[in-house]
Amino acid sequence: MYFNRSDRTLLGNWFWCVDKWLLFAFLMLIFLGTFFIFSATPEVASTIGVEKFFFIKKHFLYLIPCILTMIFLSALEQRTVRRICFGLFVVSFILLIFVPLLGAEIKGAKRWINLFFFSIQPSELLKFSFMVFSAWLLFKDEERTDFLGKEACYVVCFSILGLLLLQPDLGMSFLVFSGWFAQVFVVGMNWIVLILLVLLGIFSVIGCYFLFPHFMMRVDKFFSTSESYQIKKSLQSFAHGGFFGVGPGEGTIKRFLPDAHSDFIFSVIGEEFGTFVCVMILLLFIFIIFRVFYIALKSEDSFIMYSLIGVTVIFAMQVIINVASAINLMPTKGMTLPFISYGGSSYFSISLYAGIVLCFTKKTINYNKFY
Amino acid sequence: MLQLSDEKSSAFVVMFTMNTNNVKEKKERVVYIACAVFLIFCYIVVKILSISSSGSSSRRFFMSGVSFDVEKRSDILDRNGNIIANNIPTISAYLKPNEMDISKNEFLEHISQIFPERCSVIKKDFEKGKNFIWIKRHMTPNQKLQLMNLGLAGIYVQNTLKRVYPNRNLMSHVIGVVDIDGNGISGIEKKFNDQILSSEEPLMTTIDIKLQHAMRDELQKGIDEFQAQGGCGILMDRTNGEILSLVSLPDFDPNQPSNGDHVFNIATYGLYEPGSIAKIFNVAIGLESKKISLNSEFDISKPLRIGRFTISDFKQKSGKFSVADIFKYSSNIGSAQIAMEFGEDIQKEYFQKFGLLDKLDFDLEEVSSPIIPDHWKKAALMTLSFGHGIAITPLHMITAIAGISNNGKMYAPKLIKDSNYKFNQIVSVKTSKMIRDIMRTVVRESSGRKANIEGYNVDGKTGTAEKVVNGYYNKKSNVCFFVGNFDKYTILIMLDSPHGNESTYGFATANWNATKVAGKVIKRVGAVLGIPPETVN
Repeated sequence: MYFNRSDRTLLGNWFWCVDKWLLFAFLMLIFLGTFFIFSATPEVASTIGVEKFFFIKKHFLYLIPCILTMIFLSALEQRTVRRICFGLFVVSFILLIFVPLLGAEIKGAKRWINLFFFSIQPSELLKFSFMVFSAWLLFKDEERTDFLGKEACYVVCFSILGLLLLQPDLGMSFLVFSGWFAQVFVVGMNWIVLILLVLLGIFSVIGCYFLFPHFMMRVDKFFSTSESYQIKKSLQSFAHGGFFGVGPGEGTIKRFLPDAHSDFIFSVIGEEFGTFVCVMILLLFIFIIFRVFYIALKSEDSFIMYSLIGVTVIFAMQVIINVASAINLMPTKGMTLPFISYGGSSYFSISLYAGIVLCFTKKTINYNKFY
Repeated sequence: MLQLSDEKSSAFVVMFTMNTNNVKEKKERVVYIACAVFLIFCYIVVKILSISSSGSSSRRFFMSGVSFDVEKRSDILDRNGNIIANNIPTISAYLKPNEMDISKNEFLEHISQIFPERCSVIKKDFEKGKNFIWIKRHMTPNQKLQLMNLGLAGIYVQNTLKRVYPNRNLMSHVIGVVDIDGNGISGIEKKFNDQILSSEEPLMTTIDIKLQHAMRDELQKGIDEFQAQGGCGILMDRTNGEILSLVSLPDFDPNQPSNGDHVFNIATYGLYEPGSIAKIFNVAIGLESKKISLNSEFDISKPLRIGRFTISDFKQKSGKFSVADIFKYSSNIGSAQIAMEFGEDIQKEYFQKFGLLDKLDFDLEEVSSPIIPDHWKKAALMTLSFGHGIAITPLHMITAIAGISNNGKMYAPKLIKDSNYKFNQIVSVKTSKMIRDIMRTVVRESSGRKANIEGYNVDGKTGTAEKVVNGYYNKKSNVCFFVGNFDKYTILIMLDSPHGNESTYGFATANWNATKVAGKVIKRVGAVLGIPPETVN
């Protein structure tokens, strides 16, 4: 693909502005994810009794709209993406309110809403769009003295956390809280408030332990000496794979590993492709995270910086929680590995992330300066 | 709401005031976050590398070129290195019904040619609509060949391991069993499950299979002779707490745990009133607290009354008896009077010291907590002096008595060889010597005569307790104990509900049955242990 530098068509503009390192890293992850889904899902499909390529076909069905979303968002003006995020935030927030009323219960938690043709998880739509919204509130608060942006930001964040805990969805609450916390931290929170918030976080984890039986069970299991079946199998996968793995499709432990295609896909990679590839994937994630941080640091626009920090901290936490669960560093928490795990809603959400990041890291004129 | 025009001066706002527009500090904070994320990722990478490098050798393994889909359990050995438990490679086959190309009935027909016994189970799994069905676990290579020759689609095989116990029933209660997935569910297999799964080294126990065999053989003969419901025998090296033999009968074959009705370990899980065995504790407490001496005299001619209870003796004697004689003749009246000398506080303190009031810390999961008196007052004091009103396991008894006999050094009982030997000094050397002396008179002249094996200078004590059945003492059913010492070993034999026969003149008490079994065991294990005979004391 080549564009003349003087090309001022939409596509040419996009190609010269977008951060090619990040674009390449995202496309690489999408490619690798598809590749791993090929090796991990046929076994799961045959276990639950559907056709072998069921998951792969569905994956491709999601893949194309997701890539298009990513490219589309990255080609838009930052202002437009911000507005889209606001719209998305409002819609998903309203849907989130309705989840406890209309939601379908799956495995003891109400997280999904069934629309006519498909079901969506509002919190997946919400997490990244909320980061953009709260970044804007914080930014406006600094700019204008008559605008209670910070206060509104606190109120909105805690009402979202409340709604998420109602479902209950502890993992998502943690993600939203950590992203938002990173934003307020960077904006310049008092160290006293910071410590108070950390204490609040610790106490709410302890509170959750006593409030939610499934959380209690998982934590107890984590601290008991004998590992759960899933964790045992997951650890075995890494041990079996060794440094270079047993080869694509050759894994045997995945047959006995529940959620091998989604939450525990990292273990399957560990078994079939080895620790070497696992570390390479982690390095790719680290590269994305630090590239975004680097661009955020260079950015002259505080709004862009806050947004990038918020969304990327959520992205990083998602990777950390997924991988740490698989290697028994923390109690198991159902969390998908971005771009790699199978799953429609989460995949779409991650493509939103990629779109937002690619758009906000574009080489561009700071429009906000001229308001 | 957001567009309030008044000044931001509320308490809320003051609290959350931020030092705005300091760009440099903001960027510093971004760097902090980046550092935190980076550190977490580093830790994760290190952890992944350590899992994949450390685990590969122990968790997965290969045998003659075959890779196995299960974890390997290390072998378990006796103290001389003989195998108690190891593994044989087997093959397990399972079916994925949605990949079958024939009907379920046809499939069952084929399977019935090879595994007729599995048909009903597989049929049930079909009806439940399972997506994964075990056809047969742990089959032989020959059976696998037959199964493969059927040429059916959807059948998968796994290389598996089966835990085998070559000694069959001999160790059942000690070793325990594993479930079909290879996890320990009782005995040593459960208590040391993690170690057995992770260690390359075999696990060495303190049991000696030769002694175990002698013990089990004689105990079984004794149970048959006296038509007892069951029994147990423990042989312990009292100088370090190692258990050389632990038998509980009836037992089971751990290779077929599904047929195991007799999984109850009497020796460590059964709770019994120790009866006259407790008189050892009683006299030891009296001597140790210096309230009595062996020559102190008590009048035992009349039954004692305490509240609505009457304490009487098995054979009523008359006149004044010394403590040594009270012990020798096992007088309940005398024991109660000895206990009155030191009182319930001292009694409780020493029972605690002897480890009789707590669950023992032992190398098996199956260990019971004692049942102790709710109100430790005068009545409890007197009944406890002759072993009623408390229920403890045979393991408690032998541990405490071995301690009293071992110059007062009580070692924690152990089944696994390691270097962790710990002891408590529970009585003085002097008291220990005196107790050994009067125990010797019991075997030489009184109820323990049947265990007086020539050359070994056995000392010991017998005890017969009425069994508690549904909360009442059953006069017809006894639990009989013999606990004794020879060389550096302490032995306990217990028979549950033995009957009298011609050779015992109809008596079903410990001096006739448990003591006789103990004598025979001592004779046999003494020879195996190579104990040089001593001059008769």
